[in-house]
Amino acid sequence: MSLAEFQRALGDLIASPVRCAKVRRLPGLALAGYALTARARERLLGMAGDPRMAMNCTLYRVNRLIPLHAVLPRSCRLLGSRLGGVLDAYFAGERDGTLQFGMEASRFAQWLAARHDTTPALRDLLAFELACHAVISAAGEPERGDDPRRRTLALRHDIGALLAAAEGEEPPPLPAPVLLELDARGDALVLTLVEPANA
Amino acid sequence: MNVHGPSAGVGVLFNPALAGFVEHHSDAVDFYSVIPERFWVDHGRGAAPRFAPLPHEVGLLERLAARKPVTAHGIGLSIASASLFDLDYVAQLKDWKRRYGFAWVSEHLAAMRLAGGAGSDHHAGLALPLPWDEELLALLCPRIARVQEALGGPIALENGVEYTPVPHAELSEPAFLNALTARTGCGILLDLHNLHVNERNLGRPARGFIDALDLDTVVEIHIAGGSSLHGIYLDAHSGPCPPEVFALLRQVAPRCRNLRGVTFEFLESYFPSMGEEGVLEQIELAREALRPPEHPPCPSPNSSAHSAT
Repeated sequence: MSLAEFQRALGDLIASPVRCAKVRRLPGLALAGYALTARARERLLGMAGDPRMAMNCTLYRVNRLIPLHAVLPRSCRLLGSRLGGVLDAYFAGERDGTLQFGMEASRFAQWLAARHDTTPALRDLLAFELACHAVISAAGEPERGDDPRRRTLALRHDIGALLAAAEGEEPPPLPAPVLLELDARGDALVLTLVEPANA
Repeated sequence: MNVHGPSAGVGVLFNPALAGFVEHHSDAVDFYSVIPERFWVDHGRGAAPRFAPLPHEVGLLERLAARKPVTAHGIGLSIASASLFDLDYVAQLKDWKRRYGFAWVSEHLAAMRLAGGAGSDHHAGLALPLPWDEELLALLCPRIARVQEALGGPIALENGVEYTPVPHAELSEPAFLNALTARTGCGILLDLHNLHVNERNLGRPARGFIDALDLDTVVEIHIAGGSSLHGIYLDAHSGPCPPEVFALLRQVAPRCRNLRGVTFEFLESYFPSMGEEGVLEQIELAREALRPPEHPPCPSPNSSAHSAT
């Protein structure tokens, strides 16, 4: 149990430079929630005070960002200067990260889409990039009824304009929603505008 | 015991950027090492079904396996996590070892996942520094026995990188590894770049580590490149190996009597800067390092050989 608690506490320190600082300032309070032996506690104090601990915290953030940026690169770019703050909030609120790219990106997209300050343009782009990842991931699967290599999205923005948008800038919405079909059955992903969604 | 012939083979850790390399240059390598987790989606402990194969990636694996022997280099076992021991993952690894005939299986001696409160796992984001204590040995030995029983043979465990070592360890890292291999019969995957990283950041001499390790347990050697960030040298797998890594390889490989393969690792995002030629060059440099010198070095003036004459 002591090793498990040591690892739990160490994982929490690595996930949060703020917690590291708190352990340095108020070790009794910051480590109160863990069943630690005296040796484990002494070790954590030493590690929290090691200046190289900052690299562990940096790597934690980098490794959590990689799946998000790999699946949702344009959404990250659209967030622009807001990205750092959004990630801080996501990492603090959703601590159980996974390195399964699709799952982590999907969870982040759901979390982000549920925020009141997420714009309709960003919601469209998140849905588009997740759908791209899903159909491309299924590209080698055999054909069947509900073919996972094809998906249709209802979008309120022109996808070309969204993809071309400069960092932090959003195009205006379309007069009416459109349906976009994504098809990864061939050698390349094919996008087809089907019809106006409200036709 | 090795992949091809009497000397150790040279291989590369496969990533999707190497799909073309596999088609055109497979003759240059003796084996491919693969990360099995690249070929399936893991929906997490307790999910049913838990593992979903990725058809496109599995197609790549089958093309690899048709050309060369394949070894597995797992990243998901997290065998040193005290709060969980993932037997379903072990069963998955066993199934894929049987299916693709992995020549050997390696994993990281690492704790990367922690059991979460609601049954979910928390990924620590990196391998947690480990306390080299008897308590950890006691945790690992029965687990390794179960893994090896499931896989039907020894597993090789990789030495890691530390940026903040756990203070007041009972054992040095090589002494810990020696105890682990002696008690379980597992092998060691000796990552020379990890030793180089620890030497640069922590001042731990790589050669001291090598001299203290029981080199008969070394089954595979990893070589890789890195880069610096904020004054700290990282195991970034960011392209060619530094000369120090090849120097270590030249020194250590002849002393590893059970060495089966040397594997060059790099991340696919660095492939554009290397290209296929760059990968081929690293493979050739590894072969050169493994080649016995044509003219053995002259004994130094104060060596025993000199004294005897």
